[in-house]
Amino acid sequence: MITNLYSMLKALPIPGPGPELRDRILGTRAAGGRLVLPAADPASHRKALRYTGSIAAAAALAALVLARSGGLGDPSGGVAEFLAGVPFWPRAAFAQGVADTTGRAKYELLDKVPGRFARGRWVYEARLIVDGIDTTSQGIRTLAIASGKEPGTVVLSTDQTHRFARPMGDSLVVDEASMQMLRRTFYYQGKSNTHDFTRDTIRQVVAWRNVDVGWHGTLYRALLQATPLSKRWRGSVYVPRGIGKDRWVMSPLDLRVSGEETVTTPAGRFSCWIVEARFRNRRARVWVSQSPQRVVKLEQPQGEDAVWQQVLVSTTPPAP
Amino acid sequence: MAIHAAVPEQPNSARLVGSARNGDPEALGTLYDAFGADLFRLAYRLTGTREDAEDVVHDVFVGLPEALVRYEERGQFDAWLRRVTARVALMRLRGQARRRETGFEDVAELPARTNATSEQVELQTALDALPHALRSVLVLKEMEGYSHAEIADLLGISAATSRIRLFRAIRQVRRKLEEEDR
Repeated sequence: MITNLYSMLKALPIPGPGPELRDRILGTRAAGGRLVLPAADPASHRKALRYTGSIAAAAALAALVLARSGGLGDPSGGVAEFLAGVPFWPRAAFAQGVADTTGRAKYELLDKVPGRFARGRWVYEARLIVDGIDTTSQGIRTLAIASGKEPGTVVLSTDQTHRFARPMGDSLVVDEASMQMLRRTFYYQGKSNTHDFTRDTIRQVVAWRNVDVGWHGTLYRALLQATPLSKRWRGSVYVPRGIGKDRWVMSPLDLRVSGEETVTTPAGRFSCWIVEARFRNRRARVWVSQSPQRVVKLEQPQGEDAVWQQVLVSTTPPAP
Repeated sequence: MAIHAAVPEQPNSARLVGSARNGDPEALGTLYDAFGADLFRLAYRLTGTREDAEDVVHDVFVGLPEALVRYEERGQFDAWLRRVTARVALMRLRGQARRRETGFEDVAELPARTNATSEQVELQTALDALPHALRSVLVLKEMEGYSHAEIADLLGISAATSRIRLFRAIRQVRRKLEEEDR
């Protein structure tokens, strides 16, 4: 038992900042990076918030005018959203023990992925919309699906880039006939980590139950493309949810088609299914084009005043 | 021959702050050299991960020239800078609480804690298990030496709430450590 808690707290070891941080800061400044910091004291903070709000509104108005006049090039900036786009993350594959199940699935359980993965490359732009004001770009997410080097395998890869964030990405090699995950590699901060699966458990199959419920994530996009939707389509899945270090519980993820809508994005105009997703108290809405079936837009409320949005900006169809 | 050691410019001197305010990269670099490590330590204690702490320090220095326009040069510059850093770190934690849905860091951070005694590992684990609201108060009060009034200002809570959160944080940490001892 630690007897002197307070002195031990002060003595906890702390790593130093990386040697590249100084250059990264100066590099960001040199590239034109600017951030609005909160003020040190609350009174001026509130004042600054008012100013920031006015500036943001003015900037949004100016951006709108510029965009309509064709004068806006590549909108970017803002605080990095590192985790908004963490790619595949088949949590169950890394779970060391699922402790319990919470909640009850609302619809029939989704057992497996019915279709094949379509090859192609889809690029999404992320935005955070606060109080109805479309803020600057929150980075680009890309999903690519291609045939693997080994016969019968498919490679799902994804990456995200942002002006102020380190690039990160992920790839998953899958045996297409069995949907077994074979190898997963992710990179972040210049480092990569590879995990080879051993095929000894059903938890290592690409399936809805292994979908990353982070709705900024990626795997669900591939699954929505490979799962035929229809007007009354419904489905639920139990998804592992981390509740602490090496502790997991299963919670239901409920999905249903709630309607149809025509959506226009920079990639084109699409007739879409609207898929409503509910996971605990979180909700998301995904627009999936009907033919071919592709995710073209998604929205997730962030609190009462903000919406996280990603829209398809370009798509590369598979080679004929 | 007399050797005249180069006297580094005082980081809180008005000239250096003025240069940084004008966006002079050399002045910004000098400020980073003087305060970067200390601010990283504060950010690390609040966020709990190296990546987040680096991002906080990065954001602070990237935004510093513009923020210095609001700096009124009353009191200590380093104390002002630490408060700004704490606010950025706390904003990041709040943002993550709203937006973070994956455990990426949980895995990515595991190898970072080396050269620590078993007691320190236990204590760090207990600290990491605290909710952000409690952890922030514990870090700011017991590790960074802020008063409850200052913490109240930083977190937007009352001083009484800060005291209650500290009490709960300490209680949770002690309970966690006792569980480890069983």
